[in-house]
Amino acid sequence: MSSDPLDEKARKSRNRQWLNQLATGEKKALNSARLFGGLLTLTIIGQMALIAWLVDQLVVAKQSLSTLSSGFIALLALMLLRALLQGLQEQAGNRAGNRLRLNVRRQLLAKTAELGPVHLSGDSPAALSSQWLEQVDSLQAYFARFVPQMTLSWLSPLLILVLVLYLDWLAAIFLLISAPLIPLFMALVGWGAERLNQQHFVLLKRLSGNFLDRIRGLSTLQLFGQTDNACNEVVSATEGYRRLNMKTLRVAFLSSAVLEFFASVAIAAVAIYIGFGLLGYIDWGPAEELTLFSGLLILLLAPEFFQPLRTLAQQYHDRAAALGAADSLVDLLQRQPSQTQAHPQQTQHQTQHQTAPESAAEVSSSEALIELHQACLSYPGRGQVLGPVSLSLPASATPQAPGQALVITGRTGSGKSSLLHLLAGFIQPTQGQICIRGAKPGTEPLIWMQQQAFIFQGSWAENLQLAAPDASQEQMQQAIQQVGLATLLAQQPQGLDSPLLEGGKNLSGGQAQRLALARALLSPSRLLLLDEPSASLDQDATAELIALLHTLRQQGCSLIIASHDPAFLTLADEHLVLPDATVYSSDNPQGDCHAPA
Amino acid sequence: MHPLKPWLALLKQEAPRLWMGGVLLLLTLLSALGLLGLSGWFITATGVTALAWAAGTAVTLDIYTPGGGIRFFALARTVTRYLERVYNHDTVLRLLARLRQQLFAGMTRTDPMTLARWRASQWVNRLITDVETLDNLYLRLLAPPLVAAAVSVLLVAVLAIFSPAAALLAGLVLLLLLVCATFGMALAGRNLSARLAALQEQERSQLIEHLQALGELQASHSLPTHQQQRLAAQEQLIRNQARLQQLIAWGQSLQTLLLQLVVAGVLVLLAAAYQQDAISAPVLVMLPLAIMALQEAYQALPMAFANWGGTLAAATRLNRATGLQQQPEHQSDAALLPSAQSQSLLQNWRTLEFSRICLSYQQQTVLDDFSLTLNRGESVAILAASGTGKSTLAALMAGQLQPSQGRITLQSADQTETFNLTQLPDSLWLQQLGYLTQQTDLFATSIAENLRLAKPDARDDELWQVLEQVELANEVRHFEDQLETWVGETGRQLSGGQARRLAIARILLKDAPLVILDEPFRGVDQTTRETIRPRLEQWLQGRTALLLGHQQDQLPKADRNLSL
Repeated sequence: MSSDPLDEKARKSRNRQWLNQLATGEKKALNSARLFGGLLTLTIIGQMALIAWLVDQLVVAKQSLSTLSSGFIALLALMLLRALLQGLQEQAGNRAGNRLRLNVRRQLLAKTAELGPVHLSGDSPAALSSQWLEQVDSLQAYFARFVPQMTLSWLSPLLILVLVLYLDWLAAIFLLISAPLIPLFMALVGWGAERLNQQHFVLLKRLSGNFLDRIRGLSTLQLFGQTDNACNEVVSATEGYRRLNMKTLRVAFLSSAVLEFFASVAIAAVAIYIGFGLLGYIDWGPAEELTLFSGLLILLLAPEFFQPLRTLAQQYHDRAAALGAADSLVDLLQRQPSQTQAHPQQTQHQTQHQTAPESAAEVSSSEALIELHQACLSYPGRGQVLGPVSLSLPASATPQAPGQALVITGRTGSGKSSLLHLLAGFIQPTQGQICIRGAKPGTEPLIWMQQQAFIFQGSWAENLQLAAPDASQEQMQQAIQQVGLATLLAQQPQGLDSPLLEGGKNLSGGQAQRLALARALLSPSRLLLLDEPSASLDQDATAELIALLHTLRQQGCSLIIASHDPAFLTLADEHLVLPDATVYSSDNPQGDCHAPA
Repeated sequence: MHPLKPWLALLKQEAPRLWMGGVLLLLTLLSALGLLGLSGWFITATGVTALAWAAGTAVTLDIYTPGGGIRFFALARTVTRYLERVYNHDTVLRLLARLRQQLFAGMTRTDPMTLARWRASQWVNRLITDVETLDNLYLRLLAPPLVAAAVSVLLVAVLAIFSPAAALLAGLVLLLLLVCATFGMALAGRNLSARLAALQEQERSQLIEHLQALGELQASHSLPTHQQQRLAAQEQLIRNQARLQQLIAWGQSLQTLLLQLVVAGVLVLLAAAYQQDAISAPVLVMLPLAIMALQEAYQALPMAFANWGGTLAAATRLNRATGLQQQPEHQSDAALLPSAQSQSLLQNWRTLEFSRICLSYQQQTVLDDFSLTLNRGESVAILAASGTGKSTLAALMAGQLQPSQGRITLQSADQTETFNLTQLPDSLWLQQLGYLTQQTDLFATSIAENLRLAKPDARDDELWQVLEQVELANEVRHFEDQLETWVGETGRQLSGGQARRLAIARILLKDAPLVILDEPFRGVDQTTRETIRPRLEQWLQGRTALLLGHQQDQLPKADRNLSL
């Protein structure tokens, strides 16, 4: 990501633009945070003036304590107000940050849906979920604190400066001279910190993916005696993380040290100037008019003059973190499916989901179930993996008639899975056309079954309801019965509420497959795409599966099966043999393009 | 035992660095206090002196010592602050690196059944987020309250010299402030932040599942419903976060208020003392100003302690994970054979025997009274349907699982001695064994790196050779990056069959005398299978092999076939 040399500058301004755009959406809350912050500064000025006045009254005017009681009461009131405004500012910022984060997560969710499973297959789900959680969370501090503080970092010093200017213009000049230098130094230092911070995020993401991967394959690592090596890798990754972090921090802290230096020196200079002025050692400028009140007030305000900038510097890493997060978030949000478009719009889905049965019935008489015309697919870095393939599979005469079955065979790597991805609408062909019932693939809901059935950690019921959230207990029981898992379910202590482990680890491969098929039975879809359904089944189980698929077909379901198992050919109305992948090598683009059998 | 105890023990290992860091923190604060207090003293002193001069009184004021002091504090504040930051963060990151290493090392000793019970996603969350949460421990939770207390005590002591009443007031309110900002915030935020940590963990694993199920969800058009669920969970998470933010915001307000009250109270009491001529005017100004500078010591406390519950929850989870380290310790050193004897046994054994093995897992019987004798150099195929315990048998032979009853033994060449498999060190036994597991585990790295797991020093031509054997070499040659092609999450950029053949190639590369192949051709098409099979059969000659599968035609030919 940050290694993309394309144009660092354009990326940066793109990221900043994205953050600004988000901030514009929450203008109201952010402005109230700014307002409360401004009022807070005024309150602090009032409090300091009151303290200086009280001291002046006590020391110079020799007033008794009791005559000053109203002054002390006012001081208490200002202190209360100060605490209140501080809380209000914080809360307004938090509100903005919370709403923004939800908004960004909504965008991310929509993007993952748009990209679809094939385009995201190179990203680790753990890394993506860390983007979704940690990176989006790192925007919170930026919007809640840093953005309002940016305004306050010039507004508050300005308010204080106006008062100091009125009290003693020379002291004001001291402050004024040191203040503009600070942003200059900070910009220099912050620039480096930002770059390092971006690296830090990429590394953190990889670190998280690396861990998940190593832990998933821990058994394999154990078997190869590679756990020590893996552990060393983890250690060196962590060490690298520490080193990079220290680099970032050394630079980041430098910016606050610069500020600290100017703040300290300015306070010292103001104190010494006022002291000498009060003693009358300075016989020019406004020094002669200094009183204990004005001198003390200027001293009390000097730290407050720098405080907003110091706060900003302390929060500078929030900005760097947000920009770092923005870099990879915008990368994801602006990523385009490498072919034309992965999938029709979501809104379209919902509407068509409801009308699908009728419209499908309408077109089925006139349109083919599947129509492929010279479809080709190639991946960057892998060359052409499929095609050109042409094929037409007629639809059943009526919705009640038995469905059609297409069996795709071919050697491993010949593109069987890719063809199924195309038919499911996850990706678009590089060339040629594909239609399902006269529409773009993915328009109509269908059932997708992977080589390794997807079983997540949760109950049986939750797994069954994946594609049919409204399925009732009876329907689920019936589906389980149909796929031959009734005995297994009966053994489970809590029935449908019994837990399943991630990846179906407490099921055999065949059982997991059958459970996934039960899920398919519960769904209203009438088209099933199966990728190597018998990969983990024995002969008997395969025979049972074929019988089951046969029944489904009789009930009107159409099947598209990619398998190397010839047993499925008994189901086939149509048989497509994909030629060997190597004939499509990039040095022989024409290849021996076999026509479908 | 308190969940934080082991982590405090870990901190102890870096004790000198921690003390040094604490001292730097203290010096930074004292410089800030000194700068502001001394400046106030100086201005008031000059003001009073000027008044005295105006009244015609001859008083002298040394302006150079305080002037020098002010400059010293100004510089000291800058330098100590920078040093303190860099030094302390380095310490914390050192601790984190040490911690991660220990945890991962602990987990690598966990057995496969236990691993399956934990969700991989949660392990990662545990490793990264929890460990980072524990950086609260020193820099946010341990050092700041101690340093704040130390500075406060010093300040109160100085106050006591001038006005015992003011010292008493300041001492009491500062104590209240310290207790509120630490224990009070921790108590108020404990449940909330613990719940947040749990919610976040849950959300992460559900999100990972959501992403893994994207294909199914999208195809069936049930994606919008599931997206709504994720968003609803997110809203709930943020609602809870908002409650914690609220607590922190008002906690910080309260902290400011209490500190300002100390300033006001001390000012009143000192004013009274001043009017009785007990203290001078410069002192009247110096002490309240120093207290104002105390804000820096207290301001970070409320937020750090509001997250106390999260820190505890993280520590508890990490403790549980490290507790797992002890569970699979089936190898006690006393029972192990001496290394020389193990070596000679591994070179000379005659038979491997499973005798009367029973194994149940979660109340289900997986193996019941199973016996098998495997002669050295013999290959045995075990044919059975799914779910009949084939893979369990393999895990038993690999020493990854222990039987509930029965034993697995090796007999020496002269048949006089019998040793339990558990008497052999795991590492030695696994060196002898090439085990192709039923599930293909490829790592998110290059093809070459995946193969080199089996033989880290393998040359490229060795890699090509095994790829040739499994008919993968041609395909890999057509990849742009050839051997360096990155294999995505669980190897998804490769097809199922390709991934499987890569796993076979890895076993070939290991070239071990003992072999277990669990459904070796899973997902491999028939034509390719028929090409590879004779090569595998030849390779298996002279090796001791356990072949597991559904049917004979899906396995290399074995010397013996058995059914379960």
